[in-house]
Amino acid sequence: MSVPISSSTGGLLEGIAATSPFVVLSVGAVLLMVLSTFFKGKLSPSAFATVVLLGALFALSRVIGAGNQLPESVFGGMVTLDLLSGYMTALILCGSLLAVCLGGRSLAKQGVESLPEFYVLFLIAVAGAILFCCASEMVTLFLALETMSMALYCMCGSALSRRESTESALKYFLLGSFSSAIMLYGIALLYGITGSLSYAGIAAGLAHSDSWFLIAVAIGLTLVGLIFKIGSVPFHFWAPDVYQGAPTTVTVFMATVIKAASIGALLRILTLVFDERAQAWTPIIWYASLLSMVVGNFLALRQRSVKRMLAYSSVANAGYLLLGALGHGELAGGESAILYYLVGYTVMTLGSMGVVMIIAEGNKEQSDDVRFFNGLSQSNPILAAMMALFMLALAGLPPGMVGLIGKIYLFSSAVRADFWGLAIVGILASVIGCYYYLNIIVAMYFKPADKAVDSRPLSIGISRGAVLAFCAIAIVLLGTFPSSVYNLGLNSPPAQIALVAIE
Amino acid sequence: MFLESAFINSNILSLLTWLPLAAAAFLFLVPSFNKQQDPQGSRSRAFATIFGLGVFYLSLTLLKRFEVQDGGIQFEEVLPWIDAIGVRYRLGIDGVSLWLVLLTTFLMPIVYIASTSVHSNPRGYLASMLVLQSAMIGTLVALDMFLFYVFWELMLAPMYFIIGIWGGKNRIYATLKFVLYTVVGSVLMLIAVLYVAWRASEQHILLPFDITLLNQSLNLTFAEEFWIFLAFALAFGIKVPIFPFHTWLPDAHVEAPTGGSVILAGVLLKMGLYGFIRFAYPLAPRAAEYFGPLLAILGVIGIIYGALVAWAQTDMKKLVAYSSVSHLGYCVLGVAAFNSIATAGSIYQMLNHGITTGALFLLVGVLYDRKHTRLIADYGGLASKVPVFAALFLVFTFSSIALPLTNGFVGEFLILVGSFKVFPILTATAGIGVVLGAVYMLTLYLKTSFGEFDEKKNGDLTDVSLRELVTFIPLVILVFVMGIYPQPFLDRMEPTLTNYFSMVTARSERLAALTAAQDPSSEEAGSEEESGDTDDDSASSPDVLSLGGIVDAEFHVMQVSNASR
Repeated sequence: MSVPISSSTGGLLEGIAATSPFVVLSVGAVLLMVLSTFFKGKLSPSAFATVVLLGALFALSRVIGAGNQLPESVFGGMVTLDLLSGYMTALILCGSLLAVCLGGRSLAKQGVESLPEFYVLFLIAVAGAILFCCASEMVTLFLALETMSMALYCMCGSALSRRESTESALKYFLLGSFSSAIMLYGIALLYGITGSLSYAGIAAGLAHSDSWFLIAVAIGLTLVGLIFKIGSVPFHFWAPDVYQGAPTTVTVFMATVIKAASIGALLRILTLVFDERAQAWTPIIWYASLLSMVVGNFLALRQRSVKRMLAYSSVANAGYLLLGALGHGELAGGESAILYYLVGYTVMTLGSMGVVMIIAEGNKEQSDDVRFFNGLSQSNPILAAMMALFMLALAGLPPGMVGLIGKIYLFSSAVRADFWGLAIVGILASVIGCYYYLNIIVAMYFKPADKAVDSRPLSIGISRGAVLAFCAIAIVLLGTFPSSVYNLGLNSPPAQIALVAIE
Repeated sequence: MFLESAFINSNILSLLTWLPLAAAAFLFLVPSFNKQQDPQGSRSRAFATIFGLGVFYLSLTLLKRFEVQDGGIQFEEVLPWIDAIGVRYRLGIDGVSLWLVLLTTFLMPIVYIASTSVHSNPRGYLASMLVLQSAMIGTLVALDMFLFYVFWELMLAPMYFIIGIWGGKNRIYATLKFVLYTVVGSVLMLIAVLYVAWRASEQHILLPFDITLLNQSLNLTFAEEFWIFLAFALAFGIKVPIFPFHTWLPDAHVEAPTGGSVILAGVLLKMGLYGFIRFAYPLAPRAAEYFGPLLAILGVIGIIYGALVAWAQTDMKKLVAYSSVSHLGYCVLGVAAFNSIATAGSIYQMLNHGITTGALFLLVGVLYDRKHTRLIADYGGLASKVPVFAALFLVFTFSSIALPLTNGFVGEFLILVGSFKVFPILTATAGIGVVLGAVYMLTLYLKTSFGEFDEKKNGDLTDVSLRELVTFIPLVILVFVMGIYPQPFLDRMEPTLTNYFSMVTARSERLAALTAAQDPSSEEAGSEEESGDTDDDSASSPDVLSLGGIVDAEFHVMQVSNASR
């Protein structure tokens, strides 16, 4: 993954071929925009979006299949194609596909009126997310960030009839623009120091520069934008409100795909651009990780709204992931740990958000209060069992093995990089997490259903049921055969891979 | 016969571990066990019972094929699992875990049969029990620390559901307490495990979670041992539970359904002691020696305190729960004494406690099913009305107070003999517990079985049914078999314990030599710490040394370090 960026850059056609998933998504978005005006009411935008996503996945498989014939970076070094790009693109596309299958049907119920526009924005956001983690030049990075974010702002506010939706969009937009502006300032400083905008150029420039104060400021400001998007403390304040106010489908998308893309971009920048200057960013990430784990877990304790609880849990998870970023490098293997945990986190969060969506649709107030989970094991045993699995996985308890093994990977990578204290804090913080995750299980299994709540079986639907089942199976399989996914990251500590059995 | 097939022979531990989980999935997925087709749960119960008996039969082949003279790991199975951090799927048993595995497979069918008292959703109850069985056997056979941790954590979820769904009135409070205590313990264990693994990979040990390998070649300073042992001791001590950490146990027992109590007392509590023997002592032998007296003191406090509190109870189930604290105090004392006699006694006492306390919980359950009260004051004169019940109760009361010819006697005797050499005063104090045990158990028996029978209140009380009798008979038989002829049990422990003590002693000496060689400046501090333990050392080491085999162990160490190069 930490393959040095080679100087070979292909021509335009090669570039388009190499970034074909992105191209498919962009073209699909534009097509949808045009077609939906001509065939109003005749074209199912969700089906169209699904087809586009599948097309992008197909394109990705061709790109990966072509493998070594493609150049490592295209468009004059603006976009890099390496293992990280491929991995993140696949994760983003699969996550988006699952999010559409999970939440597409209930968009109307969540108050989204103009579906074609929503899906146009959705496709644009996915395209932006992909570019975000493949970018290897600062302007491309910023453009990708804005493409993704602008679409997201609108998506958050797409439930026009609900005031919370508008509020969340405004909040997200204001805070997001600020953080983007700060990041842009950081990029400008980096350009000032190194005279380059490409990752390789900046890395080389930073290695030679000795104005350490400027470097520290520039790195700090650049990281602000990324940490904001990840939803890590101290830039987490938007997360609960936006997650709660936005249509749940958008929340699912933000909590999984967008977070994954931002982590991917952060990982690339930290390891490729700022690697030489680790002493400047290590304290930032250290504190962000520590605070996210502690604050996220503590604030999640008191939430009644399950969506808010999951929002704080995603803050805490951002902290765990940053722990892996600290443990990056050949020996510690933090990159592989992050990639493994991201896959796990995506399925765990998708699954639990899906259940929340179903519960909220089942009551008149559209509420996701924890009391609507009471007695779920009686009225909907299968749904309750799946939710229990998702909660156990997030809590890191067997049989939800993926959460446990993912955290072990992350913590042990931090330990190998000598961040002992932080790993212990992480372990302790995840114990606090057990409490609120298990609280949902208490409600579902140990408490009787509220009289006021309608206890008839909830309608799940085929596509949603399939996604939930997929997530549940993925959690078990990922936990049982962790090496198969972890080794895709191919950064495992070399000393330990070779000898599996010494008998 | 099919049990002799090569597949079963080479995968027997995996089968024992995973078959119950498969059965739980089967129970959940096959529609003929669902609420509509099987409202009383009789089909599920029949299935679980037959299945449990099958697994028990399968586990008996372990006993049959166990090499009595072999003190090493037997029936070993190794598969790669999490390559990146060197975790393997490694199973195996020795003379210590053999008996605990058999205890588990033996008690589970009894629990399945006794599940008739569970009326709401018996299918879910049985499925949870089956998952629990998987987790317990997995914990006992895992030889990789991470795998052990996973199974250890897996025991939590089903027990949580069993208490939380099928428990009594205060169940949510009890489950919360149970989970918080357990999770705090397991987190400390996780930290210790990760630390050990990290140190191991620093020292280029290729499988930093493999307990055998770690025991042979991991080097630790005394300070490291100190913290590792402390973390392990807290984790395992909460589970046992050792004296100040015992408060979750009575709550959990009182709220748990009968089957849950039987398994909690019968098997789950032993996991803590097993953890001490398998992980804490070998990994940190010098710290274990250092903490030994403290552990013994806490054990003795547990014995006396548990007995006194049990004496004061008005609720029978709480009484039995506190008697557990007292009985496990003996096991703690035995483990802390750290010689082969006391440890063998401890393991023996674990088996006894599983059988006797399990039976006592079942007996309390029998009364509770009929009268829905567990207060001692509500009963009296049971011997005249329900003689079979009273007779069974008498047998298990005798076993609990360790009357000669019952199993309890053998265990307690071995522990007291073994630990007297090491902690004479403490052991003498523990002897008071034996008297107290007789006092509270006999008081209980007197108050319930003799005296006036209240015809008005308990007139409709019926004696134990055939089904209930079936669950008690094997337990009664074992009480006497283990009380009269303990030799076959001890024979299978002895080679393992001989090996074990020579291994731990060799490791302790090697670590001490290493510390002295590496860091001459710290010798003063080291000798200061050691000077406090010289008494114990001189008391226990002749016994341990006489067991021999140190040369062998050293040879193994050399072999492994060569291989790892």
